[in-house]
Amino acid sequence: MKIYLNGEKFEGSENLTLADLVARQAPSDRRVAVLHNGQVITADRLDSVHLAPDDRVELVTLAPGG
Amino acid sequence: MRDDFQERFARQISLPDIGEDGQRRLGRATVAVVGLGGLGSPVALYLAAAGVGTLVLIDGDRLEVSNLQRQVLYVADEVGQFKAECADRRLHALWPGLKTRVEPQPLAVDTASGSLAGVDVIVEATDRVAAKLMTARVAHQLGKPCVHGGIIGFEGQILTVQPGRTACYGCLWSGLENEPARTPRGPLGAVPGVIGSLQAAEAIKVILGIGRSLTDRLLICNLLTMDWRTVDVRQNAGCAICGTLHKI
Ligand SMILES: [Zn+2]
Repeated sequence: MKIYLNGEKFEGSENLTLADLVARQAPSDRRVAVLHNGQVITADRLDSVHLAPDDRVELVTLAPGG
Repeated sequence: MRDDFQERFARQISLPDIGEDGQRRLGRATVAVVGLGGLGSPVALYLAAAGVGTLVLIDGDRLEVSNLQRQVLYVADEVGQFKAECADRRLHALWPGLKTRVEPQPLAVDTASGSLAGVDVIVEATDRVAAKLMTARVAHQLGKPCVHGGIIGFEGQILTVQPGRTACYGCLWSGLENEPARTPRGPLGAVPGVIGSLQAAEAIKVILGIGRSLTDRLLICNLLTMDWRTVDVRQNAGCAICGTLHKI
């Protein structure tokens, strides 16, 4: 199954959840926001999101500086 | 004065999207720059140079020598002085027609409505997530557009917010109000230079109602790889600032 992770094509297994993907890419960091098709998904809801083909997932790192 | 106006702003007036009307609108506008560091320096310089009529300069810090690597508003002789006061001098030297309100203290919740009275656009250029979220909350409560900038290392991000209508900073980051500040690494000085310049452009576009703002999309610029992209962000019903779930 092809999805888009941070704007690039990513091959994910069927039944992949957002929790699985995030755990692999950015082990629990409150300073990373998870967006699923533009919607912010909080940490407690990551395992309820099952990814579908062509979904867009973004892992955005907090940029706190100025 | 009219001749000075025409001559000084000739290049902007020549742009069809600005013109003489737009230039006069900039002259009537008031922008608050919250934070006068790496981001706030180019923000304030470009807004003053562009002929924005009034700037509210908000920063409680005094200039330190380690700031000079990126905070291009200041010179070495000013170390130890309030940045807001140094900025005021520098910006007037650039554009003598500029009006300013100088606030050498950080934006605070209980005084924000006074600090931001009459402000058309807020440019958030602070250096802590708690201050960014507080500015976002105040902007939302006062119903004012806000252009957020942030940097980390070689990367910068921008989000423009139309209060209540588009995703706010809290939609992404509420919950981090009490996150302890980490000792920052970097940035390369040019990173806030780029991001602050883009924030100034966003503020001008909001004032003039032109172009396409970075609303509901976060611009992420990596200056190490030169990958620039926008990420769609939708309003988050659970947002502690603009969300609808908490308001009963
Ligand atoms: Zn929000």
